[in-house]
Amino acid sequence: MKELATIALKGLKGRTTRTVITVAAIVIGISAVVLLISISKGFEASVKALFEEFGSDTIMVMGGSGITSLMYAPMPLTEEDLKAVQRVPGVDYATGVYAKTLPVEYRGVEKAVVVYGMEPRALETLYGKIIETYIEEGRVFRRDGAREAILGYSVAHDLFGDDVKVGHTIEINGVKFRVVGVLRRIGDSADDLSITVPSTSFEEVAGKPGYVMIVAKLKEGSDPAEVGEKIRRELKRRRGTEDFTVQTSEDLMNQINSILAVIGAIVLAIAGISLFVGGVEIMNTMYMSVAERTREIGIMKAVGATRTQIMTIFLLEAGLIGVVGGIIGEGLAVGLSVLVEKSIQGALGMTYYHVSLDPLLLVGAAAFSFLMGVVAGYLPARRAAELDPAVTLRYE
Amino acid sequence: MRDYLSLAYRGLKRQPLRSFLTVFAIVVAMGAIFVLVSLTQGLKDTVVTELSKLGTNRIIVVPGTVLGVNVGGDYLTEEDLRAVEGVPGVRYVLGLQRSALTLEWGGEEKPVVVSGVDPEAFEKSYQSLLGAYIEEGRSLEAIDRSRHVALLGYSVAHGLFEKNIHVGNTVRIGGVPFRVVGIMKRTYSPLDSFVLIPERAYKELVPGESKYVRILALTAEGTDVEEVKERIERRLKSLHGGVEDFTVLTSQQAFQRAVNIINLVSAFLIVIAVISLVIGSLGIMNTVYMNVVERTREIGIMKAVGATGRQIGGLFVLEAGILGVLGGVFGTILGTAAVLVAQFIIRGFLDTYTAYLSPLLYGAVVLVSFLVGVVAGYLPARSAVRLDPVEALRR
Repeated sequence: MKELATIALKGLKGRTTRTVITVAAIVIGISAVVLLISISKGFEASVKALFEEFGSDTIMVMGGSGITSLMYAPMPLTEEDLKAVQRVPGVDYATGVYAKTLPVEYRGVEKAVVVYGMEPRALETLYGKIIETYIEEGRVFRRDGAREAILGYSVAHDLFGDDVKVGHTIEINGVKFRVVGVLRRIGDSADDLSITVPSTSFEEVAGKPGYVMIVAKLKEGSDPAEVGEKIRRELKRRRGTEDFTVQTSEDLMNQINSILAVIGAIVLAIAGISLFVGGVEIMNTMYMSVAERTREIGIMKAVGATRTQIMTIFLLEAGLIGVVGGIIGEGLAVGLSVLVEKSIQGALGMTYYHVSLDPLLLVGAAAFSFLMGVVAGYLPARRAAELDPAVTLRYE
Repeated sequence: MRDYLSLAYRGLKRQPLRSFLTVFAIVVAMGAIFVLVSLTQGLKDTVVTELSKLGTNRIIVVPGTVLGVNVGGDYLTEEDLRAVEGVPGVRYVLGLQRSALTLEWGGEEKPVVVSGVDPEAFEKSYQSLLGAYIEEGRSLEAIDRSRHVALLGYSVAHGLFEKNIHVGNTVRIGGVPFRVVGIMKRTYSPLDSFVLIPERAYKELVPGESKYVRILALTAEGTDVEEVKERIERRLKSLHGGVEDFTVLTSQQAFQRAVNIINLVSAFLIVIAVISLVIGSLGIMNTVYMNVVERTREIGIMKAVGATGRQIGGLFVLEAGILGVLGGVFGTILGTAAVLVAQFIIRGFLDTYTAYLSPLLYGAVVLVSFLVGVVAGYLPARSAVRLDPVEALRR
């Protein structure tokens, strides 16, 4: 076996240019596939981690359903709706989130800004333990009724010429609020351009315009899907139409994951084509190799090499091209993954994103590349094994 | 030139299996790219056609600053509506105000969304502005100005109550009797659960100033929608004391957003597919290298009888180009078959879907594959050019 491997290796060495090009093809193919799998696995992992932080015991009810809401302005959720949600069995507590565009003044500049009003515990339920990671500077408000405001990133940094800092005072609809916290860039322009204040203070400056969202925290041990369905049925009965969306964090995670899975599958299928093309190239190289060594094969056969031995030499040669390409490709993928990770963290603002380079994936891809070589080398190897020694020796 | 072609062709024919496999690799890669471009471009065209059926000359004024959030507390006023109406280039304006009220029918009471509209403006604009059509009866009309009549959304009439509501029935809205004059076709939007009544009757049910949650406008034909949009923005901004606490959208923007998303996805997928083309081009490079090596002696002879480096290089580059073109041609043929199958399947979900199969795409794919071949053949051809004839002949 060792000898056969040595012969296979020599066979490759003799044709450096060709081998290098073929290996390069496999390098590109394998690195693309490994990288794409790691990127999409990384997305799945970070979505999962994010939702674990959130906790799966939260249900959100939002006004509106789908993009047609843009045209038809859904009715806001009412106080009665909130009470109905609070009464649903399995709900520990539920709280409403107000929103209204209000004039906001800072150092003589007036702008219209969306102001959210929510109880401190709504903030806690919505963001959970990760709220700290969203705070750029300062803190969240802890007492309902306090004249304290948390600013979205763009409100603090872009909206009013000067930066608004923690400790500064802004006027919302003519009432003074102290800025206690500034959020990091979330990436969603709607949230970056908003201000959040305690719910009671909101009512004092803007009245009770109805809720854009109801946030419910579930009792321990209750099934989010079941409670979510109960809420949906209750609100639909109350409102006459389903002009709202009930979302459990599990739903949301499943939705995102299934979208990610579909994208991942499509991307992988397209990237898989490049491996197929690479395989065809290995086959071509092997045919050339067999043709060139026809005489050599004849001599080997004449001195007693069996069909199996000849086949093994060529299959090994093909497998070697595959696995060498595969391993270098993986190296390339690992190197590129650092860059990809950085740019995804930067571009999408997902600081918690990590490319998931599973050791199992690396082993699997290496094994796969070897197998791919062997499969692609099968036909050429069989041709070599079936050569008639008498004919081959006549060949020049 | 013809001599070149036949020489290159003969060169390739000498190793039919090798040429076949090389071309096959390009066929697969180019075919994949062809299919992706054709399908995604087709999707884009279909979306654009569907959206432009709704009209590209609609403008929506939304109270509040931020898109995508349904900010429930915000509304526009009667003054805003008049201001939009007065903007040059605006043809129709429809203010949408609404309230949750109870509807009584057949002994049942259900909450519904009731919207008060100017019946005259509604009659003129509901098809183009709302994309709504009448299934039964008629629309609200100018004569309904001070009548108690109602136009029902599809789901209000069908299925909300045990007994379906028909044109001519009288229902009670907020306790007041209204005669149903029409029922709208299903739109699969919130409009299906709306009840539309004339403004004046709405005022009786919901007293106080008008609170418009949307102002919809249709621009006159031949005007630039973006320009009208900007005029509306300026007019409302000065009306609101310089504060932009509203958002003006055009249907073109919604359009553009859909197109941008499709473009992005399609570009991403094509980039991934291009990886296989790169690998395929390495195959061409390999094949031409082999051809050069095998024909070293021949090249030596050609040089000896006076062939220039250019001619020799051209020959091998041409060989590579032919491999590329063959791959491109067969790639488009197989790709077309795949696209037609995919189109058949997609039409099951989206019946107006048409894949993009224009001569331009075929031409571009074949041209690109030729260029890929030429580029891939450059290095091997150069090695042929650089062969020393004396050395070459000695082999």
